[in-house]
Amino acid sequence: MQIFPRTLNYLPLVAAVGAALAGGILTFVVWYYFSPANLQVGYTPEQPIAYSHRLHAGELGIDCRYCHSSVEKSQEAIVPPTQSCMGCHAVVRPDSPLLEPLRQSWETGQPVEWVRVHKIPEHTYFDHSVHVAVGVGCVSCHGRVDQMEVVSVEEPISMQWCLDCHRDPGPFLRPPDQVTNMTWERQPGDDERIADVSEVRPPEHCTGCHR
Amino acid sequence: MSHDPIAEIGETHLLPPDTTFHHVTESVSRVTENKAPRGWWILFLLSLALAGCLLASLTYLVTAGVGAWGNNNPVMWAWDITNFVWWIGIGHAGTLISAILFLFRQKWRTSINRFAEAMTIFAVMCAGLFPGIHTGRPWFDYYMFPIPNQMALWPNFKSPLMWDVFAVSTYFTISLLFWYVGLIPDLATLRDRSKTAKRRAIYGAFALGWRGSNRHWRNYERAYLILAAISTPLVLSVHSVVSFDFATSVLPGWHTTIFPPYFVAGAVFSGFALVMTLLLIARTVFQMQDIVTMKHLELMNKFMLATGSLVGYAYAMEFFIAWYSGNPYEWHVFRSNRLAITVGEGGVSMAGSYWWAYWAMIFCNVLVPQTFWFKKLRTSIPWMFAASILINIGMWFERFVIIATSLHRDFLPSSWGYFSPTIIDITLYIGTIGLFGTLFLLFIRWLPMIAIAEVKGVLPHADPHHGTPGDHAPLDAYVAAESPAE
Amino acid sequence: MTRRDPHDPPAMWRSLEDKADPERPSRRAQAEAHDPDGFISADAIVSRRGFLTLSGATAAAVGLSGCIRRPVENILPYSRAPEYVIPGVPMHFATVTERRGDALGLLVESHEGRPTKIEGNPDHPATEGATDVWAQASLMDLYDPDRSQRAARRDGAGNLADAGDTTAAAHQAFEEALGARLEEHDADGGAGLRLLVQPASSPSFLRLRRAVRERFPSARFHTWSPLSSSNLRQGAWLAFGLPVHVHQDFARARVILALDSDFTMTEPGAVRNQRRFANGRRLESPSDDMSRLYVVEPSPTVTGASADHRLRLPARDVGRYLKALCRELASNHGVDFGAVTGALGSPSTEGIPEKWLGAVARDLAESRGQNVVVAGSRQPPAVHALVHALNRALGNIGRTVGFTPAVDPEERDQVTDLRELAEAMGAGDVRTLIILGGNPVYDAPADLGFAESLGDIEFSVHLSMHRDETSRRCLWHVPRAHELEAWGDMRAIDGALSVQQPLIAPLWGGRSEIELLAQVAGERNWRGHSIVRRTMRESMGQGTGFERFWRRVLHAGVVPGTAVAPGGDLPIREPEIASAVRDLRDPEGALGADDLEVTFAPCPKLFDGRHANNTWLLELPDPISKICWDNAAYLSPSTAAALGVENGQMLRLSREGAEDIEVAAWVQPGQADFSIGLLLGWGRAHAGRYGDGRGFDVYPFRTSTALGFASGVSVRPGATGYLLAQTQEHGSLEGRAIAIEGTLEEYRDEPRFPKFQTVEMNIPPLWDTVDYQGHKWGMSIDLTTCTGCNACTIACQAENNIPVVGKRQVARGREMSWLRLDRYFVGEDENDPRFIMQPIGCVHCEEAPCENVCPVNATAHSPEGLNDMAYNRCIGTRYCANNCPYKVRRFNYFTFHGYLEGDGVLGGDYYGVPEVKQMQFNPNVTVRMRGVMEKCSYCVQRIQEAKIRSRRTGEPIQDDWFTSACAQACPSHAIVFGDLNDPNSEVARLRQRDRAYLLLAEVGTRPRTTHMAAVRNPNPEMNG
Repeated sequence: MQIFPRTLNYLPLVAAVGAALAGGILTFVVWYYFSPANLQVGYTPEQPIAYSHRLHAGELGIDCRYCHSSVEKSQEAIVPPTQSCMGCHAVVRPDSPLLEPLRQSWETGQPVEWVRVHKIPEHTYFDHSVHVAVGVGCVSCHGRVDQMEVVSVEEPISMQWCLDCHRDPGPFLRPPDQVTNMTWERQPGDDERIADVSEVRPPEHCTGCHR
Repeated sequence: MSHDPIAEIGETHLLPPDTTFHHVTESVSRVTENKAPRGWWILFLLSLALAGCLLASLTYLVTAGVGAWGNNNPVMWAWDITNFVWWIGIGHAGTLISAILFLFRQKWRTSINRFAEAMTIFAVMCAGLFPGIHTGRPWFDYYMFPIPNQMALWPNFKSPLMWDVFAVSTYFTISLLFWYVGLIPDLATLRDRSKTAKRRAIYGAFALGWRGSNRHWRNYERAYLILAAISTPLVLSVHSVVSFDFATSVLPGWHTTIFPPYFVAGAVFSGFALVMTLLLIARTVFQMQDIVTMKHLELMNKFMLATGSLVGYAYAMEFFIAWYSGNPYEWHVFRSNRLAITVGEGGVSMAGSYWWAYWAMIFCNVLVPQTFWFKKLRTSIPWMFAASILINIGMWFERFVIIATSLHRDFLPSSWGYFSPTIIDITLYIGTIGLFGTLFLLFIRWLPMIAIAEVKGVLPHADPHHGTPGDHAPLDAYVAAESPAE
Repeated sequence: MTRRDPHDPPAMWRSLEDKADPERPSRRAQAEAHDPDGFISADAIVSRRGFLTLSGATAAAVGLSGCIRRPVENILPYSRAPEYVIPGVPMHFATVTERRGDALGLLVESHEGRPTKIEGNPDHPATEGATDVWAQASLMDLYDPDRSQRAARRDGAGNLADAGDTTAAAHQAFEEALGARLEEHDADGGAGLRLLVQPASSPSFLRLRRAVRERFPSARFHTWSPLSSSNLRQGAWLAFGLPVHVHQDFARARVILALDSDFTMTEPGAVRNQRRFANGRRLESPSDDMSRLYVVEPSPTVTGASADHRLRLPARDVGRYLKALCRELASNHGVDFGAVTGALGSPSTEGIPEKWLGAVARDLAESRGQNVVVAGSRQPPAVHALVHALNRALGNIGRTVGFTPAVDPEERDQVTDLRELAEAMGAGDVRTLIILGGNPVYDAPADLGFAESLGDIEFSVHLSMHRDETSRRCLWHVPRAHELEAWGDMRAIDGALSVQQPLIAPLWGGRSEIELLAQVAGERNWRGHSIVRRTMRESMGQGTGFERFWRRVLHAGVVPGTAVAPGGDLPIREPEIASAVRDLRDPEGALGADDLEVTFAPCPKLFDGRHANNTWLLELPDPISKICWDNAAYLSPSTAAALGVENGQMLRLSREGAEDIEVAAWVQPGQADFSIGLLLGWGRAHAGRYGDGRGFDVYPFRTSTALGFASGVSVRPGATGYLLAQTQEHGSLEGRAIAIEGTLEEYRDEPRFPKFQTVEMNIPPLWDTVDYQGHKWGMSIDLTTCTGCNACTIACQAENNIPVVGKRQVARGREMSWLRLDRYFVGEDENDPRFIMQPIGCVHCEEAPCENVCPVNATAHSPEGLNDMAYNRCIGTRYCANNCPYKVRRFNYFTFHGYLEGDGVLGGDYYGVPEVKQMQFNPNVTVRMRGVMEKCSYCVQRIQEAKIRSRRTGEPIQDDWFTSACAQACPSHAIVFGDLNDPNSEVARLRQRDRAYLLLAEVGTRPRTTHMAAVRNPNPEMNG
């Protein structure tokens, strides 16, 4: 006699196929959605001071290195000390309410608590100076900062993403003097000023970045 | 019974000639239907307790770190991998009995194969646990699987550990399928015998609508044959691959070409031993002496004798090669770390840290099985029970000897050390035995522990030519009368 | 809080200001450590107190509340950026530290104000760029979490209690009390005012001492340090009648006879001695000459371990041996001792092998003017005097032996000095006692009763880094500044003047000796910086251009032209020597099971006990016995047999006039029979959380009459089974060609002899072999010059954030040191073996067995041939370590950082590491978590920095740009690291050397590290 309806005859088959599919889908979901490409990009934290890169870097056209002064000498590009800001803002808009935190930091000597936007894992050692030295533009990793009111992450700062460039740096190189240029485009005659890819040879082995 | 062809050709019966289909069905199925005997409960609760202690030690291990074990600097692997190899080895009998003996048409296997297969599955489960937890950061074990990831990194397919991952998982899958396919007709039997709707529903579901129709049987036989063919090479491959973990290294005592066959022989050896242990218990607890007869047991003992001798040969051979190769490091491992007999002015002395492990292994694995040359011992239930247990102890020591004694004194004397287990090492090992026991007892209680259909297949009256010569008694009627399943 | 001084390195003052806000950063430190992989960069852990309050380096999280992506992290830039500081770029400052009266010039690396690594100053004559084990480890003293943080006063209950709620308040309270006290003394001219000080090598100290005396004419200074050079000083005084330092040039000497002298490790000037000794034995080719070293000593030292011939002789018989040797030289080799000859008498030669007189004498006689005889500071003045006479008679003086004037001409015999003080204290003549540094209650001779009478003194002050045994008996305790925290100046024994420049503001507001002294002297301007500048200005006498001069000194670390070449042929005072030698009687009776000798030696790890809370040194294996976390009583195998004693059995030592002590026994091959070797510096009661009660205090057994050694000791064996944890349990080579040695003769016959012992297999590789273009890093280790001093091991630990694991874990065999020093015993006689030391780190095989077996590619080969280890990829299968023939891989069985602080049950965790200790971490090296494998990386962080620098500047990497931490520290220059593809690199040259061999070449691993066989220079006559 029948215990189950006929329709259930295909159940085992369906179950098997379903399980296989589920596994595949799960893998894909983790691989795609739990990756920096999805988790990092677009991160736009609010900063203690409504500092506008669009205004300073874009409209006023201040060079990146004016504030991020150690980018050519050190692994750190540094966020400028209050000092640097006060250099101008002692006279420019000295009493704008927006700059209150800045003035406080200047008086108390306490740092302004900026919020980190671009984050690399602690076990990864990234050196700004060497990238700048071979002519990797700021824009390649940080995006069009000069158009950002509030800075946000544009690139997935993932290992895969780093390796893509390290394996084929060519397209990302530019004349070293154009590094901070947000809108640079390859001009005829640039080529001899661009570092030779065979010379650059960025590291692809573990200790290149992990020490 | 007037006429007995088997006796005529001078053979003895696998089962008593008067065994009826009904009797087989009855004696196997009732175990799953009647209340469990006290013995079962005692064993079950005991195993469950041990399984609990497995859980506890696992929790501690992962919270504290593998430092909770005794592993140290020269001896980076110890009980963890020893247990892994031991369980995997045990897991071999199942497939061997089901697949290889099946292909060789060894009818006697029918009374024990279901048992052995179940044992295989559970043993592989226990084995699989260890590679997973022996790592320093188990939560990153998934790095070992080729899954696409944002690090643009793949596993290292050159590593024997990678091969293990694939070998073991394949073996497990196939064994599971094989076991399940074999179960289908019997599940149907249980379904049809079941009194309650619930039982009927559950067994029914897993019986996949088996009707015992001619077509069903034909497909079934075909599937079974194919699976047997697939899993036969696996029996050889799995443990060969496991042995590569050691054979492909540069370590004296590990770097040995004889390992693959040596490991397989040992695996079958230990597998049979454990089947024997469990079978003897179950057979007495559930009174199945007439289905698992002395003839079965004797045949198994002969098997152990054979594989035991193979293992003994392997020991002798790797020892000989160590000496013959003239490799001082290799020879040191065998002479000092293992054999450890030093003949000095102080006469003969056991100088060497692990001599006891080595000699325990020799006694259990080489000497004990040799007793099976004697029919008296081969057919003595108490002795074969003791022997089977001794052999399993010996096989554990074999793995420990290979792993620990090779590691603890290798190339540079400055880095020599000694391994001693911690309480966690011990509880974890005992724990896996508990887990195994729990699963196995559940299996005995809820599933036909002996392949009903297959045993019937080897009964005399299953033979179309059964009956008086010339008179083709209507077999179908006979059968129909006997067993409601068909 | 403090006025910024324009002359101080800005980084340190920044840190001082930061100390103002303790609250927020601690949360920071927690948060920052967050990392998806559970890894923490050193920066992250470190930045408590905002030492890294800079962009990039620091990040802070407010728990995990934030967006799903990651916890919100903050970037905290400077408010006012100090000049010079470029975040992420370390700075180096030259400074100096004191070691047994000598000054070691140092270069200290500082990351945003935290000193993280100490190297030798190449421009300093004492170090020439090398360092010793203590200099390397002194960072751990600086960051010792148990340092005293406040001035404290003894309360009613007799316990020390903070003298104020803040550091400043406490100091103020103390200063008021001190001021008041001193005003009283102004009245009586300092009667009853005594100061107990350390031996002075500081001009500022000498100047202030004068100032104090001017203010308090009747005040008295006493000097005490448990490891004094008094015997050397008096020996020299006897011989020459002048306060001089004696210098031996071990580089020029062809034959060296060391009498109970560990001149390469614990004696004064050890670092320079070791460098010169190594230079005298460096073999470029078979045609080179090497010196021959004879050592006569009771218990094995690293010097004895590198000897060509070593005689085990109880310390008390060394004088007898010397006399016998002189007699031999005088009678049979016509060596003229002048008036001394008579005094030699005819000493008994019992127990001294004939060859040690005949052959050695001949060797010395034949190498007149080109050998050195040196005696250890443990031996009595008479022995030293006779040694000077011998050197004179052999014509060594002026050639291999020279003199420089003593830094402090006043220094007297310290025991006498201390005894006088103790007696005065006992008599109640001391009303005020100011103890500057040291720990006399712990280390003063037991029979002087110093400790007992200290408690009764009305007003006593102790300046020290810890509230130690002495502080607890004083009325006042004042926290002392670490050398890296304080200004100072120091003269090396050759007169080289250096400025001690602080790297960081005093973490706990400590004061230096000179600062406190200046306060006693009543100087208004008592800050170290001003004191030193003033001393410098006065001594230099250059008013104009002083600033430029000062800056140049700070930069170079040593005042140009102050070092004088030792030399000068001083007239020798034979009569005085003769009488002294006459008094040097042969010891009566032979030593035996009931009349044993004990010798007291500075511990090659804890020194005199001042480093007793230094985890690096506590866990450092003893160079000879390889014991960690303990000291022990060393007995020779036959003595142990005679006494029926086994390893780890407790011994009760008793002796006339000293209280009994209990020490665990250790059977030490190479120890003189019936002489028990004891190491000082252990068994501290108040060292701190790590050092308390470690090992056994042997000071109670050390009396003022027996500071070096004593006989008449009896032993009562007690309970067995005391655990002594060793890092190397097996000392035999098992006849394997691992640490290969040969004689100079053998070497000249067949320069390539090591290569014949190691067969290089031509195993066809499984996959294509790489031919390494570009860089090809490699290392070379010379076993001939390596003494086994351990400096490399600690240097490696400091550079690479290597944790300590504690005694129990070491006993389990889980020590983490990347670079280990293997010590093997060679020879048949278990009582008298030869020693051979072999440093081993990862050898970076080109066919690395570890790489093939890692299932996740966590260890892989770099195009430059490095065997990379990616911690964050490692899952910890430990397969690589099993497959490593050299067993140089180390596994983090627990989170060993913070393990000592943890409960020891659930491992440790980073936050268990006291924050002040976290400050030491090298920010360029990942701090490893539990469950990952690690090993020597060839200091890959330094390689990467060099490559980045080369990329930035466009110039190719030079051999002298950088080297590995171990190579940089090595005083023997036995370890050399560099680029094998660079034809100009030293390592490339060394690899071609005939003595070079590949360890375990037969396994076919093709290591990048080559060892160079140890070549000994035995005297053929000494054999048989």
